Amino acid sequence: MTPIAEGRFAKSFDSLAAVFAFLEGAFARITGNPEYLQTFALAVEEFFTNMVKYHPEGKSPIGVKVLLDGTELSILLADSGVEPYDVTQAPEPDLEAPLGDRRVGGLGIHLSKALLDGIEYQHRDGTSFVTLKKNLEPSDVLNQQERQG
Amino acid sequence: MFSISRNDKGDVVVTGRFDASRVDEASAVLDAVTETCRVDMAQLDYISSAGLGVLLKAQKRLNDAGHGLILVNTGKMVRDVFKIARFDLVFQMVEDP
Repeated sequence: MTPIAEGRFAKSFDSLAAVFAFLEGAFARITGNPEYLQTFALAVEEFFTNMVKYHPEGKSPIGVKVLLDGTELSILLADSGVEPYDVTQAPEPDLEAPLGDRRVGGLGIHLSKALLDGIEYQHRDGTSFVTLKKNLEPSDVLNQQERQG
Repeated sequence: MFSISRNDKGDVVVTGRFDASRVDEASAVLDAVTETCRVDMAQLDYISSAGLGVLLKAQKRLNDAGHGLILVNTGKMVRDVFKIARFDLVFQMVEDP
């Protein structure tokens, strides 16, 4: 499957604006429905910032690849030179807790799981791969002609 | 683009994309809020868990003093995120035409 777009971004919060611009460009070639961009932008930010915060041992840029297979849209994040840690297995936050006991930890993963159809984690040869997946409504996917126009 | 500031009525006005790179900027404005305050979110397009964290920290501090943030005119994306995170249970959210 040929990626719609592929980029590498310095492992820093300061990269987020460039990541969003990259996603915006890629999504303009996939769908005219802006809600998918918002959904994926949030999930990408949550996992990207997790990689920045919790895996400083890897100094390489983070790879971001956007793939479309029929109506299934996937974004693959690759963080190299890091120890394995399956962030998708992080404990769920207590969403019913009173204000004083509320914590933000785990919230980003919870939001991503709620908004997407699937999140997969793999670790191979010192690289953590996170795949974010969502099935688009067929009517929301641009056809070849619309994509080129 | 992102911006956060106080208007002449004392409301906090937040616009654009509130992501993890904007935490310090937003905290500086919200840390200065000492009483119940409206936060105008009509032009806020996007918020992530990092943004939620900043609002939650301010809400806890204000709540301890008997105050709180009132979130006004949240857009669809922001409202959806608040509902999924169940932040609608710990923030007052109002529509103000």
